[in-house]
Amino acid sequence: MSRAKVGLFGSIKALADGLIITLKQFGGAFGGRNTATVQYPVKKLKMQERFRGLHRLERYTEGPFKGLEKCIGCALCAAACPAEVITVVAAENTEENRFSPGERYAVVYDMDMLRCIFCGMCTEACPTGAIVMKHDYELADDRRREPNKFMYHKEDLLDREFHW
Amino acid sequence: MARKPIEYVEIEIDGQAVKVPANQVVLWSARELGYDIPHFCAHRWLVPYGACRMCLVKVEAGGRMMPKLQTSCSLMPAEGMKIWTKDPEVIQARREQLEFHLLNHPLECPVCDKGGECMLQDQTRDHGMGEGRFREQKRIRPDASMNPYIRLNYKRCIHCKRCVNYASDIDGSYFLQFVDRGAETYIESFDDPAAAPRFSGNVIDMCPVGALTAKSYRFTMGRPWEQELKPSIGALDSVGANIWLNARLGDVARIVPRDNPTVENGMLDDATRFGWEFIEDPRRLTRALVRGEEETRVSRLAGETEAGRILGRIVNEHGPGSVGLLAGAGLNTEEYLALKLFAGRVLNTSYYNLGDCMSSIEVPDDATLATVGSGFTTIEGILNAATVLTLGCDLFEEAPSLGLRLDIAARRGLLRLLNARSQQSGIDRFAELSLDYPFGGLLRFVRGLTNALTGQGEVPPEVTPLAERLRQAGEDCAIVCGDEVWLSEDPPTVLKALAALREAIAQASPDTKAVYLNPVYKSVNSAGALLVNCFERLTDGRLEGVTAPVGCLGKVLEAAAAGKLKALVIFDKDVLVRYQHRDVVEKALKNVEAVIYCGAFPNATSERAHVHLPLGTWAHREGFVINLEWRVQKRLVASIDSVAPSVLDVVNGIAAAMGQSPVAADLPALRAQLARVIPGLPTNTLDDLPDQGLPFSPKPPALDRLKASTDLPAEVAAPDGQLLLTPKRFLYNDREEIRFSRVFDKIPKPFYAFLNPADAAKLGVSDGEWIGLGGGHELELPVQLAAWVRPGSVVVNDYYLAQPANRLAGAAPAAVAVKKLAGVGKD
Ligand code: SF4
Ligand code: SF4
Ligand code: SF4
Ligand code: FES
Repeated sequence: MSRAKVGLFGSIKALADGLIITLKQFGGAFGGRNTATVQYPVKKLKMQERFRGLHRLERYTEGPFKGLEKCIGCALCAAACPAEVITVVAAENTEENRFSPGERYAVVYDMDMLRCIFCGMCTEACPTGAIVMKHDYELADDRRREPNKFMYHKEDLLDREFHW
Repeated sequence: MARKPIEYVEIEIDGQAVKVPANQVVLWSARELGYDIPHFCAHRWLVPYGACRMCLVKVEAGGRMMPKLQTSCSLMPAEGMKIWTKDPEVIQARREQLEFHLLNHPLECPVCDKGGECMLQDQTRDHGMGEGRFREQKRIRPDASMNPYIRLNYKRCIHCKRCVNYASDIDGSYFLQFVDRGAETYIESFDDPAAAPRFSGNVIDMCPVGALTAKSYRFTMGRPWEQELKPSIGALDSVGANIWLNARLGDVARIVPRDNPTVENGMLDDATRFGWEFIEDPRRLTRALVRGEEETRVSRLAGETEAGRILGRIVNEHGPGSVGLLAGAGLNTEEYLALKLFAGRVLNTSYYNLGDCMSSIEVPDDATLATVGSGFTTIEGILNAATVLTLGCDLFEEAPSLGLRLDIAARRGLLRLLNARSQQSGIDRFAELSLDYPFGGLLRFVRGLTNALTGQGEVPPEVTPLAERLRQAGEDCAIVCGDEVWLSEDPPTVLKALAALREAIAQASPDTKAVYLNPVYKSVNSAGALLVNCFERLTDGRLEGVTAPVGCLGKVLEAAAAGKLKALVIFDKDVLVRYQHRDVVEKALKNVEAVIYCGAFPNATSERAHVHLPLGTWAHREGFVINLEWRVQKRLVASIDSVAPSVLDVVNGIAAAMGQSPVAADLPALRAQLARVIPGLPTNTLDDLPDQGLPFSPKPPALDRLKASTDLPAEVAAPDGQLLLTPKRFLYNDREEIRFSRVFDKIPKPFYAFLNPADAAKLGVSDGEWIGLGGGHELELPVQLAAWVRPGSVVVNDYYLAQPANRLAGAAPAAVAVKKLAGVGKD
């Protein structure tokens, strides 16, 4: 809409509309009905179902493979990742030492979370649904220099506790 | 060269008029022109087979539509033919055909090693249905091992038969066969467990799917798209097979052919393909070893300082010419220049020898250099010659990819193959004529053959059939000679005799326009070593402050043995085992005050060194190598975590410890210098040299005519009750690429005394029993009966550290007493 058509009155109305929303939200923060601002970290939001937070490597929870890792070490997630976050090294399962169904499993699964842009490409590429993105979003830390602080290994990603 | 010029015919593809070669099937011509015709079973090495039906096209020939679609992989073009590759009928047929291929094919690309470089995957994406309709049980059968290198995943095989056809028509080992019929067909391996596979790895590349995969690559080495590829050169022979060195996460992952049609044409031998583990083997020396009272490991710098201290003292005390320098032929060409500068400017000596072919005493004379530096042809030239004569070599062992290509050409009748050497060899199978003579009799044979062709001098009767054939050598003839030349007492004499033979053939065969002589050198860069060693005479290059060598390997060792040299500096050369006269080397190592060895791995010579300095393997050092057709090729380093010094680093380190200036600032400077001193050598920078390499022509001294001797040396024969000791080069021996790669531990290596069954019967020994060779049983080896051994000889591996053949072959040819060993048990 061109500016000329809005006119003086229109502009003032738009300003007022915005201000009213601000005031309403301001009130909401103190317990009003329209709460958009939450008192983080005292209160935490429940994310939408499809929110893409920190990854998790899944296990089978039922069926013949119950307890085994879903990941088969195919590295398709690493291939799909535009930020080169993921490094997978595969190895072969043996009867005594079985990690996943089939022949192949990931012996190394590293994610460099300083690089991740949370695009979700890895979860889309995964043929077994092994890598999923959960709702954890508190990933920041001030100990960047600590070695591997942001390097998540397979152990960190498997069986990870998720908070909400 | 002798090939008929290619004729072209005009055909129409998808409405476009195109010219295609008349002797090539439509599939390849169309693909070369950019028409995407899918295919599985057709392969450029194989004859058309027509199994997979993926290459169907619609054809109109002679003005009439062919009633059915035709397989373009077996369709020869004819003038005026019309082809449709994108007709709806064709597309429909392809899609349905592909559905058939996928009926029994598992959906397991994510875990399949071929995924990412799989023809079935690509074609399913481009031409497939997108979804399967087959809901029934797919065929299953467990995986199987085909040989120590290869694993078969039965479910993935699409029965294209490429591998089986390769095993029968190309490498001729018949190690793979189809068993059963129809959908139940499977591949069975008939690998001889006692024989080491030689060309089996090529089926991994040929298999269009992931049915045949490399055990050493399985799962752990990453996916194909994750590899970093660096062009390099197969290090085991002088063909210089073009390879891609694949690396991932700082480790070498695999070696695959780089497919240079003019060099190895994608045909790698198994030792080259699978021999990469040694690069990162923990036994590789990463620090220096100093042996005084006891052995200590010190840093590389401390080792170089110690070496420099010793050498500095010796050069100071004894003056110029007191140090000898030897180098093997696995180094890069610019590194030879560094060594030459090191010898001349730092060590101040002309007792040096670079390379491994000229083991004689004197430096090769002009006639010898003219023989190796001119009159050779390219590998293509050898393969296109009308007649190929191999003399004194077993190409399957010495230059496997060249041997295999010659073998195929002979099988297809594209050339006449004539062989003469001391033992029968694998390449005889399609040769028109194969002769043998006693080991050490090469010179006699060559001169006799020359005499037969020129009609002068004495002619031994055994050469006559060969002379007959050489009189009709056809349009051109290539002589390929090999190891027996280098193992002979005086290689230059034999080379000159071969040059005389070349002239004799040219004169005796009236319609022969050209005769070439191509020596197969011992190692990957023998030609480069020879070039730098003798560059004052092989080129018109000059270098300040460096003198030409006074002699060859023999001269340096004898000077050391005589006490004239006070120290020996040896770069990557196991002289103690590799030089024929072990006694001379023993004496040399004893009589010098210090031995400085530089090499990646310990070996017999390095154990005797006072200082052993580390050196990178070929995968750690980038540079140029020159192959048997004088093609300059480059090898680059892949990004692997392990770092190791180059020869330049080491000589600069020693020079610094001696208080001298470095021989060159860095490798690029050295390369530029090499390109300056040897005009025409395309080594200015690594980047400028194309991956395929460039040919180079040395400029040897011009000779009017070779004055060749016609005297026949005496016939070689072992006295009664003795056998002729024949050291033979095998593909699998104790060189470090094989000794330190675990994959070869499972390979049966030819560390035997090979006996002709007739001789074995006389001695009363059978397979697996042990015999002692020599008066004092200097060699003790298990026996293997082999019909290819010439009666009266015993063949042993020429590089076996535990039982080195040169303990006996003081002066080849040596006749040895042979005795059965009772006490030593069977293997
Ligand atoms: S997470 Fe999925 S895509 Fe990644 S390696 Fe494992 S199975 Fe393959
Ligand atoms: S052979 Fe090819 S199509 Fe078959 S599973 Fe392997 S990658 Fe996939
Ligand atoms: S194993 Fe591979 S090359 Fe051999 S028939 Fe099967 S698909 Fe073809
Ligand atoms: S490529 Fe023509 S039938 Fe297989």
